[in-house]
Amino acid sequence: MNDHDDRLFEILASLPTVTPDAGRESLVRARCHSVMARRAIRHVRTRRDSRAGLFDLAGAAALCIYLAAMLSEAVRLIS
Amino acid sequence: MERELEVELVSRLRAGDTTAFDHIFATFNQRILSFLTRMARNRSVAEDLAEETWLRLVSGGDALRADTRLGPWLFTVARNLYVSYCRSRSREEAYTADLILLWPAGLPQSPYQVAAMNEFEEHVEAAIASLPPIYREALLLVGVEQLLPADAAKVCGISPESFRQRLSRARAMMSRSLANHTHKEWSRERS
Repeated sequence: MNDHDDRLFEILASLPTVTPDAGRESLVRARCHSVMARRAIRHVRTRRDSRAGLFDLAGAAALCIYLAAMLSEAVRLIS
Repeated sequence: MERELEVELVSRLRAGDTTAFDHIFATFNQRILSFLTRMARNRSVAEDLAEETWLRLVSGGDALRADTRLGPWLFTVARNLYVSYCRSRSREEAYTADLILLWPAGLPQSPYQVAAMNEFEEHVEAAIASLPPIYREALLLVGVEQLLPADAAKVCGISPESFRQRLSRARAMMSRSLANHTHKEWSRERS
């Protein structure tokens, strides 16, 4: 990079940035917050659903074990 | 932005912390908007694309990697959205009138503001706007937004070597364009 390029980059770095419109900015922020809130609610629901699913599975497994034990006891008594 | 703070903000954002989002927004929104305004050469389009960039960040926040570097990530999304916009609208014509929209408050309001507006800067903006998009984005990302060339290469989706060549061509075109348009001012600035 030569002096000319350095000067060019100095000029580019000092260019003014575009000032965002305050109203538009707060609108965007609010929209993003609401998306984040919806995402958080969805996460809680997913977690709750998966926990509920786990309980259901555990219940079904316990029932199966109980029935198998009953069946084997019945077979033992008959024979 | 310091790396430690950046990592912390990403982690908080992934956890859904809105204050982390506000911090990131306050740090990058103006830069993203400036970049998009200079790329699109139209302020309202740039505002829409910037909004979409932020929505992408929050809707995919939990998919962010813990070591995500926010600057390059945001500029990549903004740039890709701009490319998609151009593809869908085929809007790559040079509208000189749109250049005025680059100025923060549109047209200056008073004679003082008119005098304060740096004529040389106007020529620089016009020269940037006249570059083909691939060279314009290279120059904007490194020259204006101060991204490292390696990061800017990732943003553009090309190899660092290709990016170096692109940047070098952009510099040459920019210098030529400035020399053509503002020979007097350019010489005065350089001296």
